[in-house]
Amino acid sequence: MRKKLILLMIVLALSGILHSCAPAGPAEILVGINAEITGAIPMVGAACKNAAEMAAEEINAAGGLEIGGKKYKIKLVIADNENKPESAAAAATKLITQDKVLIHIGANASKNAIPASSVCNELQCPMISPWSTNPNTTLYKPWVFRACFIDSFQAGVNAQFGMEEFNATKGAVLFDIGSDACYYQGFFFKNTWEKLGGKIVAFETFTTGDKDFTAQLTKIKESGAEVLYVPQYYDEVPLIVKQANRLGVTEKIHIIGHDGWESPDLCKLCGADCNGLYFTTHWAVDIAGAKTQAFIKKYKEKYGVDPDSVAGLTYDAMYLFVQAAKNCGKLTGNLAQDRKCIRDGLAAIKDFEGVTGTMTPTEQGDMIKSVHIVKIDCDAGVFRWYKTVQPKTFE
Amino acid sequence: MAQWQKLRSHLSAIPVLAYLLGFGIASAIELFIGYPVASLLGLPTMPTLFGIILVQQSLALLPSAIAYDLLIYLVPTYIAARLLTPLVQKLLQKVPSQRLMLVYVLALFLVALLWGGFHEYRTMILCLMGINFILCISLNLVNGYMGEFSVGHAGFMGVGAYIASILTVWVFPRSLGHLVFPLALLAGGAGAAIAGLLVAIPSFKIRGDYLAIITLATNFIIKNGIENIERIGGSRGFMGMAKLTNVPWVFFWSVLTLVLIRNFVLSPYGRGVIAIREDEIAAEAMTVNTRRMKIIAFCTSSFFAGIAGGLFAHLLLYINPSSFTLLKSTECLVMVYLGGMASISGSLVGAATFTILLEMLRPLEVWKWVLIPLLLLVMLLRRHTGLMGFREFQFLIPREEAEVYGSTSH
Repeated sequence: MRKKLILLMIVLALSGILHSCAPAGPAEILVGINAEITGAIPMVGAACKNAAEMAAEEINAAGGLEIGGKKYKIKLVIADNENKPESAAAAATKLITQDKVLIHIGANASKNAIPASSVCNELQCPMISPWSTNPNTTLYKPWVFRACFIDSFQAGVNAQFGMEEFNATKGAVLFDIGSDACYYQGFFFKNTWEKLGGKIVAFETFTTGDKDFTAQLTKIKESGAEVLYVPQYYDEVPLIVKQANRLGVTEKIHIIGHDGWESPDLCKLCGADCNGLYFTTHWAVDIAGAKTQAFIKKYKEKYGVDPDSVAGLTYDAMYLFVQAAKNCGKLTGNLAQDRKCIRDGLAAIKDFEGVTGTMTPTEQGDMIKSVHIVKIDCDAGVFRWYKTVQPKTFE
Repeated sequence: MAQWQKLRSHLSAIPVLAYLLGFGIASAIELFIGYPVASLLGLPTMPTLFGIILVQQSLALLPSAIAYDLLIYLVPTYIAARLLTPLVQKLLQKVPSQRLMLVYVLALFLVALLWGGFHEYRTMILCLMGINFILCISLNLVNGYMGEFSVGHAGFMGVGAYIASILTVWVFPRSLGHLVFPLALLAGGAGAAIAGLLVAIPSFKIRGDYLAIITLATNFIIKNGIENIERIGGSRGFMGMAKLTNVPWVFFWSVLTLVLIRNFVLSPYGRGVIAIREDEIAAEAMTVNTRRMKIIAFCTSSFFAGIAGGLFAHLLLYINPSSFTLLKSTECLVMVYLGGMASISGSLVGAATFTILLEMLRPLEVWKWVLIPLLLLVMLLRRHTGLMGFREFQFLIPREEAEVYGSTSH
C-alpha cells in the first residue's frame, strides 16, 4: 500500500516537472476582466466579456501587441464578480495577486467598481472601469481610470440642451432613489439647471422595481414644468413614457433621458410612444466614424446582437490599455514596474480615438469626451443623431 | 477495501490538533519554497487555493497541481502530524478540558496567519470567511437553536456596517485607527441589536411563517431607510473608511462570537432558547421566561450581525444599501443550512465551505450557480440537517455533553 502511494507521488511529481519542460510559448500579457457575469445584470457582464474577447482576438490576430519592439500575445483572465461588492473586491485581489495581471479592466456597476478600485489602488495595479459613472470610483485613486464620461458631465449636457432646445426655464426630474447612478444624474441635472438660471419645479423619486408612476407624473404635470429629465434605464423608461402619454403629461412637457435609454429593447417595449424623444449617449450610428461602424458590424456578426454602450466602452478600455502600453514603451518583466509604467502610460493619453468618441483623461482619471444627443425614431427602429456636445465642464 | 480501512484507522489515530499544527508547518514551508516548487512544476503562479482555480483554467495543469499539493501540503502535514502526535497527546492530557478550546484556537490562529497572512488573496478570503462565520453562527442562534425562521439577517448587518463606518469616518479621529475600531464595531453591534427589537417584539405574538415575513419586512425597512437618509449618502453608498479589518481582528471577533454563543447555548439559562424551539407553551410552563429569551436571542443575533457588518465595511471600504438586501440574507441562510442547524461546528463548516466554494469555482462563471445548488441539493438529500446538524466537534463542547451532541470526530 505504502509503496504504491509513494510510487504514485513520484509519478505525479515527475509528470509535473516534465510538464514544466514544455517549450515556452510567445511572451504573454495578462489582462484581467472583472465582470458581472452572474447576478442581477448578466447582460452587462456578457457585453463586457464579449467586447474584451473580441478586442484581444483582434490584437492577437495582428500578431500581438508590440511594445518596445517585442510582440506580446494578450491573454484574458476573466473573473466573475456575481454583481456583489465583496465578490468584486475578492475578484480584483485574485486577478492582481494570484493571476498577476498587468492591468485590471472592470468592474462595471459602480457598487462593484468602487470596492474593486480601492483594491486596485491599494495593490497598485492600473484599473479601467468601462461603465462606472460614480465619481467615487476614481476619486483620490491615482491608479484608477474609466472609459465613460462621468454623470455630472452628462447631466449638465442634458440640462443645457433642455433649456436651449425648448426655450424652457421650468424643469422637472423623475428618478429612482434606489440606484446610485440615477440619483447622481438627477442631482447633477438639478444643480446645472439652477446654475443656468432655471428653476426645478418638481423633483420626484421612486424606488427600484416600481411599476406605477401615476402619482409622480400627475404632480409633475401640475407643476407646470416644461422639461422632464428621466435618468432611468431602458426597462423602466417605456413604462414611464407610456403612462406620461396617457396622463397627457407629454403635451406640454418634453421628456429627455441619458445613456441608460440606449438599448435595442427600448423600441420593442415602447413602440411609437417614445418617438421624438431625445437622449444623450456614447455613440450615434448614423454619424459614427468608420471605426465605430466596423466595430458595430463585427460585434453583431460575432455575437448576433447589437453592441450596447458597455460593449463599446469595454472595447475602448482594451485599446486604451494598448495605447498606454505604447506610451510606456518597454516592459521590463518586473510586474510592479510594468504596472507603474502602464499607469503612467494611461495618464499620458491624449485625444484617444475610441469607438465611443475621442477621449482624454483628466488628472483624476475621468474621461473628457464628447456626448451625442440622439432622437428616437421607433418606427424605423433607430436612434438618429441630432447634436454633438463638445466636452466642457459644468462645475 | 481492507487496505482502505487500515489507512483510515491509521490516519484517524492522529489527533486533529496534530493535523492542524502539521498544516501550519506545511504552510510555513510553503512560504519559503512555494514559489520555486510551483515554477519547477510548471505552474504559472503559486496556487492559492490548492490549485483548483488553476486546474479550471487549464486541465493540463492537473498533474502539476496535484504534485504541488502533495509536496507542499499533504506529505509535510502528514509527516509533521505524525512526529507531533506524542507531543500533542501529552499536551492534551495535561491541559484541563476547560482550557482545551484555547489550545485549538491558538493553533487555528497560527494556521490562519501562516497560510493566509502573507498573501493578499488568501487574506481577503479568510476575512470574508470570518465575517461569514459570524453571520452564520448568529443567524443559527435564531434559526437553529430557537427554531424561528429569520430571513432578514442582512438588514442588521447593514445597520452595524453603517454605524461603525460613520463612527470611524466622522466621529473618531482617524489617527486612532485600530484603537477605536473595537468601539466602533461594538457601537454598530449595539445599534443592530436595537434594530433587532423590531423583530423581537412582534415575535411575542407571532411565530413561524408570519414571523419570517416580519423579518423580511425588517430587512426592507432597513435597506429603504438607509437609502432615504441623504446625509449618509442614500443609495450612493458611504465611503471613506480606513482599511482596519485584517486577519487578526476578524479572527478575534470570530472567536469571541463563537465563545459567547457557545457558552450561552450550553448554559442553563440559554437552554431556554432550545426549550422554545421544542415547545413554547411547555417552556413557559417550565418557568422559562419566553419573552425575555426571545429578546435576548434576537438581539444577540442581530448584535453579532452588526459586528460582522462593521468588519465587512472596513474590509471593502465602501458600503451601499444594495449590499444588504434579501440576497445577502439568503446567503446567510444557505450557510446555516449547509453547515447544519443548531450547531456551532456546523456554522464553522458551513461558512468555510460556502466562502471557499464561491472562490474556488469562480472561473466556472454561470456554471458555478448550477454546480453549487446541485451540491447543496445532494448534500441535503443525504443529510437533511446539514453537514453538522445538531452535532458538535468534540473540542467545542464539554466532555459531559459529548453524548447529547453525538459528536463523532475529535
